[in-house]
Amino acid sequence: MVAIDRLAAYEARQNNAPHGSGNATPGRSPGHTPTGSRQPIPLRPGPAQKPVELILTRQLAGYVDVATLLFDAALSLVFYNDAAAALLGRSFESTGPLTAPQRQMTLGLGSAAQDPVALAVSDNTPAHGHMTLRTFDATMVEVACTVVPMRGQTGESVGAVAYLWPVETR
Amino acid sequence: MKVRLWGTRGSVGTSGPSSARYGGNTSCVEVQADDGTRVILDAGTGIRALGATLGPETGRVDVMLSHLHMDHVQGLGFFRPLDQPGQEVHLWGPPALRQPLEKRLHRYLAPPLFPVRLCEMPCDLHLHEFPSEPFRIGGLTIQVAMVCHPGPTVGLRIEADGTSLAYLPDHEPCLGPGELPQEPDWTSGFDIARDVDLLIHDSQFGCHQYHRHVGWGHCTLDHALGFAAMTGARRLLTFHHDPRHDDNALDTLLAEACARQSPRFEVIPGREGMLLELVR
Repeated sequence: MVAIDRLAAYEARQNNAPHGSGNATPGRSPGHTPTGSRQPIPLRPGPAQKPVELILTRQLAGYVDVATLLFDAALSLVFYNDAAAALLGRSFESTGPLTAPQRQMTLGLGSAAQDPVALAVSDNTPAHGHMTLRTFDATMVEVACTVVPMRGQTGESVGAVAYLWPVETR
Repeated sequence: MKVRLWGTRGSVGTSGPSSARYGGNTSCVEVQADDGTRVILDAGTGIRALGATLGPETGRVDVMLSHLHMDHVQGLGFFRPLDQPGQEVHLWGPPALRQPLEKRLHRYLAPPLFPVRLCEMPCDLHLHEFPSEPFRIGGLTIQVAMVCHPGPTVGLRIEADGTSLAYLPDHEPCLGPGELPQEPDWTSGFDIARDVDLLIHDSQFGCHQYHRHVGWGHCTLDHALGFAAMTGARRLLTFHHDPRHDDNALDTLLAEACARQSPRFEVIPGREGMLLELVR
């Protein structure tokens, strides 16, 4: 990051305001280069921000009493809400995010071969089915699971959201 | 890099002596690199006066729309370069899969809301949806990202001459993380604003107003201060002032928020007509 020595901040003189004399920034011929030339912008190392679609879905998940799990584009479990915590037996704050192999192993939420999240994302279509979930305290729970892939306004995959409903077993 | 504020008001324009210091025109900011490259951020009512300064000698004009809410596009119809035959004008807007930018803009720039259709403007008009990767226009490097605000809305990061600014005029950063500053990776706009020299940010509400407007896509001065602290911005410029707040109210709200937050960075009240120069 380049150090900035000073910032000259000043209000334009009264007669220099945009609605005043019109004596604004001089109009110079900019000599533009064609757009489309791209270069990366270096940023301070740190956690990458989640896509806004995931951020907003987490906001919604915080309000609904439906077990809701969020997955990023790498299929990691990046958040689940209180209703899901009640089902899984542990809060998200205590578990933190789980990679796809970790959640497959810990929760049995899909196998490596038949991961409903991976299927939904790769096929870009919702996946629904019944499955047996292993909670964090090793209890087996029958659930109905619906996974909805999420795509942003440019068509890119940003992850998926899964809704779980416990199923009464006879 | 020079930054000039042509409109700082949010939602709807105001007029009259009680808002004369902060100004009544809606969002419009002019950014110019040292090599003369200029981009215009948003086309609120402030763009009318800016357009009047752009004569026939002006080269290419780029207008970047953060989103298409009326207070950010209302000035387009009165932007002189659009009415100049042959004038090269590039309009940029957020992408939306279901409707191209031209069709979305035509919902305003066509009868019955406006007498002239956008496609009938005599200028040499080019429309672009923002790419997801950084891109360059002359001496400016621009990066956009979707941010929390109803409808497709981007925040912009602009770098030039070793300096940087972020422009998030309409933004509700505490959707998702709850309180600020807490979780940068769950905070909308964080990557765009990280470590910038100047953060131009929504600061529409007083604390007493926000609870009634959660999800409306705006934030309080306290949120803006918290977001600026989280991102490591060196300066915060308050923007998108609520039309219900007159000059005295804005002074008071800012003083109270700064007293609560004790920011360790410079806080600049965004006033129409202000010219800032970011110097390396």
